[in-house]
Amino acid sequence: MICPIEVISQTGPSLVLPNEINGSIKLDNAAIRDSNVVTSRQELLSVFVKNDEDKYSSNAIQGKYRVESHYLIFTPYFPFERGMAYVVRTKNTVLDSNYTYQSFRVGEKKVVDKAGVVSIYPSANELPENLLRFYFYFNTPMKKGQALKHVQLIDSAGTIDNHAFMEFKQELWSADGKRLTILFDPGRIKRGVSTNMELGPALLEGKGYTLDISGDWEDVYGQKLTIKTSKEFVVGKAYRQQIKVNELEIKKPAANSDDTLIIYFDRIVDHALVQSMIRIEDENKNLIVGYWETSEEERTIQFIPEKTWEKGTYRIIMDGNMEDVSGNNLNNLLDQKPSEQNSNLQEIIRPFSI
Amino acid sequence: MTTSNQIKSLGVLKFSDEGILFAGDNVSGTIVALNFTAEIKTADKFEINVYSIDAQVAAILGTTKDNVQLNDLAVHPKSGQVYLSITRGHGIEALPALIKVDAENELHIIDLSTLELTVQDLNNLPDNDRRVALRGTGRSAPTIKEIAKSERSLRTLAIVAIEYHKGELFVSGISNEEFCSVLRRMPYPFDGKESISNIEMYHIVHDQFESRAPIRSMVVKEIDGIEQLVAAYTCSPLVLIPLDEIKDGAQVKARTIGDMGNGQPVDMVPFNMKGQEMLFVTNNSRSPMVIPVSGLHNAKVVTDKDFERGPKLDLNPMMPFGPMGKSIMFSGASLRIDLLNEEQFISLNRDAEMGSLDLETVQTMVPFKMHNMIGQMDIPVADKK
Repeated sequence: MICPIEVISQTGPSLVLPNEINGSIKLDNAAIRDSNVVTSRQELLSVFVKNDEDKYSSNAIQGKYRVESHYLIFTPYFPFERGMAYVVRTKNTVLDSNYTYQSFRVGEKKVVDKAGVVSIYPSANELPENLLRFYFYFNTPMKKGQALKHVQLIDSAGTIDNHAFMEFKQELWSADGKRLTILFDPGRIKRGVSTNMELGPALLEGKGYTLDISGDWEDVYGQKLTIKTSKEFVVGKAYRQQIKVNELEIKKPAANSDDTLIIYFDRIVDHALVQSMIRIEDENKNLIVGYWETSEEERTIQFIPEKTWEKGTYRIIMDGNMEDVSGNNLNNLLDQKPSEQNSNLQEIIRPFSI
Repeated sequence: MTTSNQIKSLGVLKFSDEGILFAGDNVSGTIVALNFTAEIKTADKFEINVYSIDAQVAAILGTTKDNVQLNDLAVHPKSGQVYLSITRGHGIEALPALIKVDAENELHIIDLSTLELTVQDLNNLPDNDRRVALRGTGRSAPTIKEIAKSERSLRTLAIVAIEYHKGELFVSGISNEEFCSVLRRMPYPFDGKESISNIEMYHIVHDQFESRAPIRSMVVKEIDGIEQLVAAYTCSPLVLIPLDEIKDGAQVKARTIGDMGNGQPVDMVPFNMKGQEMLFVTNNSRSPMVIPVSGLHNAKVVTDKDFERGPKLDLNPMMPFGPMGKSIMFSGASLRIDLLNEEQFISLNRDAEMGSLDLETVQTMVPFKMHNMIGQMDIPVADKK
């Protein structure tokens, strides 16, 4: 059926093709006064998955049409597939008997990255005796439920400690399956607890250890890590004091600059908690947008602002649950007698002016 | 009222008589109710035959058929249009799609963002990280396909079948418990509450009581004067469960009344055969069974006490056991089926010779197409000289 549309331009249709998978296709055609009739829109602009016969008359990709000034815009219900060949079919007018075809792709075909260990945190080579956790970052989502089969703690004599880490029914993975948190068995860390007394602490001050991640561990695509990853470290003094937020050295940014703000800790902090547990507000309690980075083996954290600092008063707000790598938060130590429990401060505020 | 953003997957489908479409979302762990009550009849009688439907579904979704999976189908009770639940893409990038096939055999993507829907959250769901057990067949080591099966999350069995009956939903599947075969019961409209009952049954073929395998397909029928679920299990007992016993926390002992003799049931569709009520039970590994409902009345309930010890497989002379009706001819394999109208089924068929996936209309009395068969009537009589 031919629908009433008013054609203003008779020049060939010019197309704007999508450059992202959620993109739309814009046809700069005649300004269309009345294009409410769906069939006429499909006649003017249709998109197909490229097929072997190169025939494009049925099974066009379905989606929504809209008109914006002199553009007819088509957005598919579902995103384009990266690297897949598509064909867009256009006409100057519905009265025209000839279609014009143009093929396109959106991005490159997605190939699965190689499996591999990206990083291990804490990154330092000297770690406290009461270290609570390691974070492993992987290149691809890993198969779950087998971490403790593939991760080993070995002392300098080559003895494997099979009871160093907590065994969970559910391993602690990030939603994307690329970050695993492994906890030392707190029973081995807390003094006076039976596992600690029977097996001793997993880490002993002054000794050297190796953390091995086996190359046999597979990602969800069945790719092995292939090479064994080892982290060697020596053990230093346990962290048995709380972080004193008000005594931390801070390097303030200059007004009207985009300097980073730097906080120097007296120890290694839990890098994963930094992003979510610290924020900066201005005097009107507006959040300063930017992001945190750790450096100097997570002893230093710096805030990189999105905008230039304005002159004024700011507040660094640390959540009371922010922790060092031994699980001591800003209120309490992990290994603390119940009688010594401190009050639980929700937030600890450190103001500064520039 | 909620938004379609909450739908993460669309699996089993079931229409209420009014046109509410219930869909199982295993990824979210919810039952979604989509309102299609305004849909009306557009054509009096029509057939739907869409060949290579997976390729056509893929095309309108902007992809290729290796990126789509057709999960279930359901026929709208008033319009007769067929709804298909689809997974587009794989793994964490997978997206749900709902597609309608109309009387003209045209495919339409349903824009989920415009639909009126409500959601019921389910409790005690199986963990995503727990997998199907790995086993081989007999003395053979597991094959690549059997290993692939063992990588499946138990979560994919959270919602296996849905039955709607008089303002209530019955949902079979597994939970996170030790005896994990469960029936969930909830009112519609949803009120946020569900009852969960554990179901145990005697499995004739395996010669044991089982409480982990989920019910694969089921319908509510009045049997022996009371409303009961007629439910089919893998390998392949048929059981009765009085609705009265399906209460929260109940350990229900289902009544085993028969066994089809191995295989995994897929759908159970009631239909009328010359005035007699029948159940059409499809299976992914054997021919469909046509079971007369009349035979389920006064059926003998069996337990381990009724048999000699040991497994009883398909070839055992007593199989099929009980009032299981007849195994009937079907061309290719029906992966999903529903009643299209009083005389016809609509079936998602895997063609035995071509391997194509076709949506086909077949007669309830003769449930197959002729396209794979050459017999006497297909050879024309030679012209007489």
